[in-house]
Amino acid sequence: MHMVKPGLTLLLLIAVTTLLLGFVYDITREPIRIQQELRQQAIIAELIHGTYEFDEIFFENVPNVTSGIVGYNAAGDRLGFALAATAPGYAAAVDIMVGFNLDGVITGVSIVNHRETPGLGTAIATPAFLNQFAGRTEAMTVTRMPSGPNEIAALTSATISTDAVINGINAALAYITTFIEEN
Amino acid sequence: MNPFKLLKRGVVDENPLFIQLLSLCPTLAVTTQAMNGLGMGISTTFVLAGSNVVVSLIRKFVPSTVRIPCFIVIIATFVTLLEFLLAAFLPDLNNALGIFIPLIVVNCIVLARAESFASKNSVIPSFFDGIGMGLGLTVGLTLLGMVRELLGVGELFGITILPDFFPRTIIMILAPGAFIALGFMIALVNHMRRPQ
Repeated sequence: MHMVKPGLTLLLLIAVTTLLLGFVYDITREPIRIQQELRQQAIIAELIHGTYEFDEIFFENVPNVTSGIVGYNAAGDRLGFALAATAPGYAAAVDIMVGFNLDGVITGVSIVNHRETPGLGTAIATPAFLNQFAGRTEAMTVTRMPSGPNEIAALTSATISTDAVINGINAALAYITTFIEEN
Repeated sequence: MNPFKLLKRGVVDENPLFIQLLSLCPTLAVTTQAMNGLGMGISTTFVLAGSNVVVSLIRKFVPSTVRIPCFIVIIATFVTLLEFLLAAFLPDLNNALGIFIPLIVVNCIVLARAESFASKNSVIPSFFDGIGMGLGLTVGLTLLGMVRELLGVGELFGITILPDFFPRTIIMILAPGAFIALGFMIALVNHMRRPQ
């Protein structure tokens, strides 16, 4: 009998907390989705200047590239593309968004979501790191001591985080190059 | 014990970082910059105060054999709730603190206060104990972050302080630097506490 009461107490506590978590998950799901959408729109506006409206590019099972949009200005002219890409980082997937102009040249890179180590991997989200990608058109590699034009310096103690961003950008580059050729 | 004494005990007499040496795991990871230390400290303070209150409220119903699992369930629930609510309703704060929230689950100061204080005291003192310990941790993490950021990259809260010719010691923002800086700071605290 002495084992029953502790077990039941724990069961009851877990039942209550699970119910509470389920309830809060339910009421926060929609606001969280809206927040993420707002963030994504802000990022798109930053990557493709003057975007008035945008269309989704249809995707079929492209590794690492999760979605993409074509941005238009108010007159309906194409301005550029933005692709959402993802690659495994140190703790979880690093989700990025890469902007391209109509010729497939990178206009900018934004970090959408990451769980990298504070102080080390989080350096991927700094302007100093992200600003080096604008104007690039070719796949990049990560090295400690960059010597070629398409070599990127690994962030100190955050090589895996650096790799994640570069893998994401390379995947987006590869996709947009074929997309522009075919359309 | 009155609230002021509880707060002072958390910040000074029993500082979680410098005296109790608790929550070293997130400390090493997070204190590479002063701002990160501050963010982690504030997030932990919320969870500490909340979990202390709940643990104190249910302390009479929880059999002592399962108290630790119960405390862990409560802490994990608090952390998850905080994560959901911040992401949904306070996006700016979430951008600043979001990455620290999951680290609080592995933060043993929260469990330590539940076990050694909240499970033996009533709600109001438990709340102030949580706030006091949280503030103590915040002060400790921020100071450690300032030392590491200043020596490692020559900045404080992201603003360059040291002139360019002053050498940057990169090891200070890596894990060994956390041990080295913390060791020196504990030595200093012990020296100041020693009866003359």
